Amino acid sequence: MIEEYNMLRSFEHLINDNPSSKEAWKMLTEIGLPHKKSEAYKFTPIAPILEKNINWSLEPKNTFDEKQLYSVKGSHFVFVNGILNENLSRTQPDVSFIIEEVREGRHDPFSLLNTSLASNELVITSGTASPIFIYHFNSTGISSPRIRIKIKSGESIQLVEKLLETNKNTFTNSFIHFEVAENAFACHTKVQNYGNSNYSHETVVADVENNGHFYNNTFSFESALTRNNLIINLNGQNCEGHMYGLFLLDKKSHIDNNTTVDHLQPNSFSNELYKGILDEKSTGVFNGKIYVRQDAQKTNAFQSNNNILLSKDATLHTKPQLEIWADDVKCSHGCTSGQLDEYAIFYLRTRGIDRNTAEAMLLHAFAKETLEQVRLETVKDEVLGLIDQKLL
Amino acid sequence: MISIKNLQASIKDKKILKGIDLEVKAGEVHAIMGPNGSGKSTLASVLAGREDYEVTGGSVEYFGEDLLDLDPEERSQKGIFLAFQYPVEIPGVSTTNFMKTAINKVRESRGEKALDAVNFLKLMKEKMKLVDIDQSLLSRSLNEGFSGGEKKRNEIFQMAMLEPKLAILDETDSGLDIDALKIVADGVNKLKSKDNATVVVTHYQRLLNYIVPDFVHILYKGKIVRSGDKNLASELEEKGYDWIKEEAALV
Amino acid sequence: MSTEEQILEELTSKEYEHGWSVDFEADETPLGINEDIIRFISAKKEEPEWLLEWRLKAFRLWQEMKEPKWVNVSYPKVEFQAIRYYSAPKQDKKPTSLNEVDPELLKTFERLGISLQEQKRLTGVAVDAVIDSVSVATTFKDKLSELGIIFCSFSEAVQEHPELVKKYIGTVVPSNDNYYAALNSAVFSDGSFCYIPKGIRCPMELSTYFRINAANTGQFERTLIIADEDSYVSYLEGCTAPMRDENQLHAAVVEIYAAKNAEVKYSTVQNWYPGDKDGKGGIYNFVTKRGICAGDHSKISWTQVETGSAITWKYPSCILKGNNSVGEFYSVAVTNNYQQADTGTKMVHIGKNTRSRIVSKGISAGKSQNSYRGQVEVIKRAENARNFSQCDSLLMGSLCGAHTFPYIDIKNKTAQVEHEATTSKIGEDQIFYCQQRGIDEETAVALIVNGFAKEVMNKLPMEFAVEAQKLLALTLEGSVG
Repeated sequence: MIEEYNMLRSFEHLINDNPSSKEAWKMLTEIGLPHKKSEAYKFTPIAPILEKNINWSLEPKNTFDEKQLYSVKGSHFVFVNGILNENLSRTQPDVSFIIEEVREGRHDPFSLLNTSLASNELVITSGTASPIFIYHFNSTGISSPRIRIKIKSGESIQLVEKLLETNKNTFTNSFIHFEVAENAFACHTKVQNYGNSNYSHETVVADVENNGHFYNNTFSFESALTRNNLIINLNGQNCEGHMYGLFLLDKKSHIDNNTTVDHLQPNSFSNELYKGILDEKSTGVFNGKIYVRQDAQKTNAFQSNNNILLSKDATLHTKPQLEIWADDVKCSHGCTSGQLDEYAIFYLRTRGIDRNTAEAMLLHAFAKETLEQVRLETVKDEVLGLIDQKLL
Repeated sequence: MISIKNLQASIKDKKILKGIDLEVKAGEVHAIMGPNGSGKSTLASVLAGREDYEVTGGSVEYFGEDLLDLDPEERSQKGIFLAFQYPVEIPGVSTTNFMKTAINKVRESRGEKALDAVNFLKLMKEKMKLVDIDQSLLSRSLNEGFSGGEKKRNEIFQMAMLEPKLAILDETDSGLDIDALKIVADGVNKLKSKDNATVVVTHYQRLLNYIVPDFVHILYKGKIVRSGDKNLASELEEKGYDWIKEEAALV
Repeated sequence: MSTEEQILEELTSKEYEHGWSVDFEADETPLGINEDIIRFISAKKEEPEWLLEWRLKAFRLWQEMKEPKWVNVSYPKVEFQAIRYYSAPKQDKKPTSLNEVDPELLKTFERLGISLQEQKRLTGVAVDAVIDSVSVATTFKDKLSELGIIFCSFSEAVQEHPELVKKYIGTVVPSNDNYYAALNSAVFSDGSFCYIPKGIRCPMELSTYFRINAANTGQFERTLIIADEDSYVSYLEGCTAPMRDENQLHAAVVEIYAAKNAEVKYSTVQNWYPGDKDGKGGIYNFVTKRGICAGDHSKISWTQVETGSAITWKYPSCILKGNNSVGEFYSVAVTNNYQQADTGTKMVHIGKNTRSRIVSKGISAGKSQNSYRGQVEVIKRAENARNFSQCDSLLMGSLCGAHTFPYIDIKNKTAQVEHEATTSKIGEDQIFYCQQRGIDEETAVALIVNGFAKEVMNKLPMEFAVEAQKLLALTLEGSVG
């Protein structure tokens, strides 16, 4: 039985007129959106929440704000309501890109929804020397940005993505796919600090070939509800996948980080570190999956999720999941949940630091560890600033 | 006791031993010295039967029997003992339990009855004294969390327990301070008799101050390039390995 | 064929040791299930009306339920109408002493290594033997009753202590808890019952030995253990079944109730027939085990060594309701050939200052799949809850799988929860080191596996530890990856 959600019907007139979109829509109507008992959305019943909270007929507002762009030399792509606006974008000569019709994507419900509704796809076709920034200014009920990044053999890319929801009760359903060729390198950083009435479902997929490296950094602060699906397929040998995340939440923010790294071939490496600090009535979910397939001998896979709950009303669900079909591997995962070390606080206080400052210092140190792989100073400073703003 | 003739061995198609000849008789102590990468540890491992190495030529006779035909445990049961350069850790298995299993397997191979707990403990106590090893160390998981010195001492303790005919000490001196070195050497010397033989594999001469060899062989690029008595070791200490390398280059 | 393959071959051809069946006359229902069958079982056991009603209610619930799908195992659909729900070894009348028990039956247990003859008894272990669905003999009853301890078959408890049964049955595992618990509640035939009165430390291990003998028979036993205030009991459970080509169903329910300051230690060595090397036959073991630490400072500790069954689906759990109560779960699960195990625990922290500890060691060999599934839940008012979980997997060979699914759900900021998991294999260097000391490869593997599982094995009572070690070695000897 598929539970029916009315909103699916309200999208019907938005379906793109191309075969892939139509096919995706057909599949979506067959499988339906995840219902309340779907294991993958156990702690984030997203469909009923969206149905209740999103205003699908929102009038778009002009929300572009030049000041929101990073003042860093690089290519800046501006999406408005899910569609690339080339007039607002400013690119460097080292970037090559094309706009294509949407192709078939993944077959999970929200990827299918994106394939159905995205009007086209921005395809960046090579690596770049200067960083790439992608901004989403969304003010309509649903925005479906669709991006593909192809990094050729031996090339590299630094990509920072930022979502700016400027109208209330909006929903963004994004899909970004990295194709990391042999010996290529990609680093993807996301800063999520939305309003308390903005909702998003963000899918990031990376396909990594021999000797390729992929990094993802996800920093989440405020959001009514954000679901991050991060899927890294280590398709080749000697690949590396790195996942770093911080969710520092307050109010009623709800973040669900769902990560999967799939080791398919021998000699690959993956490392994951996610940290959560939960205050007020926030909810943090972490589900990290590591798959090591039968051929993926000599895999090294590590995963760690550490959390601190600051309030009596905060909720944490964590599920580090390890599935292994190869015997010559080194895999471990660990997760913890606790409070700040009272002894450390005491130590700081004996040095004349008041309790609040001491706690903030320790939390800051706890959070900062997830920033190690961010190479752009501007972005690092921004995230540090947000951490301070939340903690002090 | 053991007669090695033109022994050649390789690992992953890389030739390491290129024709070793060595004869060891009961009651003798041989030292095999050589610079890093000369094949010393390979020789020790091949004699113990490590399967990573492929023997590509030559023969090894041990008490008249073809040694290369035997499984590692059969070699052990017949009296070959290898003191590992890097003793392996086995979590959850105490040294005591490990040794009890080993001793009884060796006894079984000789058609002897298994030692009961009382006699085993008696034997253990006796051998513990010999190498000055602490009881608490033996009840911990095998080599897990042991210091370098503790691991090496544990190797000698196991050697004392198994009373081998041919003991091969692979870089037993590496990572030991002088006191630990003395204890280990002292243990080896006490175990020496006219019926058994010892092969000491080492890079440095210092262990040979305590375990005095009857013969010294210098291994270089997979061959024994020079043999002599203990004075050869002293000479080597004085001149270093460069002298050997130069000489080898001339040949 | 490499030596490695040879050893794997040898291992997989090792036959199940307890695989024989004994022919004695059985008193049984026709195949299938309906309300009449349930009435028959209830009448056969001369049960009071309330219990029949309780069964029927469970049956009606069961009919509306669906088989769980979330488990990481796959198997052909169980034909619930092709199972015999009651099969009792036929005895002319109820035996009053061991002398009256069918000698064939006694021999069955002798062959399992369990003597029911008190003069030949294991020192200090009282045994309740359950064959197919019925408890056939309980030893040491008189000695225990002097202390007020009740240890008897479940049927006997229904007759002799109905007030206790009525008060506690279904309070820890309600009949609508899950599909198999509901089925069990409807058709359970016998099992063990145990009550430890206030302030009593049970002086001996209590043990139940389960055996499925008849063909096409499901075994649905039910165990209820009640530890009153300040009491202590250590309880052991062992299981075997004959080799048969068809799969047989075992759906048991175990309920434990621990009052204030009470401590219950429950140990299982499960060795149901796992099926042959091609995955044919074997027991489907779908069991619901749960204990409630109802009183303050109470403690329930589960220890299990799971070596048998074609499929194991089992999560012994603790509800930590009393303040300062403690729950523990120690598990070794070994799978080989085509075995599938999905096992773990659930620790629900409700009271203040509750503590739980989970140690799970999974060993997979052959083409088997071994999953740990666990949940640690800290509810909002559970101040200062503590949990530590350690899940380690050991893989042997490259055709098996190890899976870890730990759920951690926390609603209280004072909770301290730690989960760690590792995966490893037996190193070639470890094997070589053992061989160099004269130990053959098979013994070396047994040694290393027992070392890996030691932390759990140490929790077993002495009487079981030896058997469990033997079983581990038997299932895995020489299985080098």
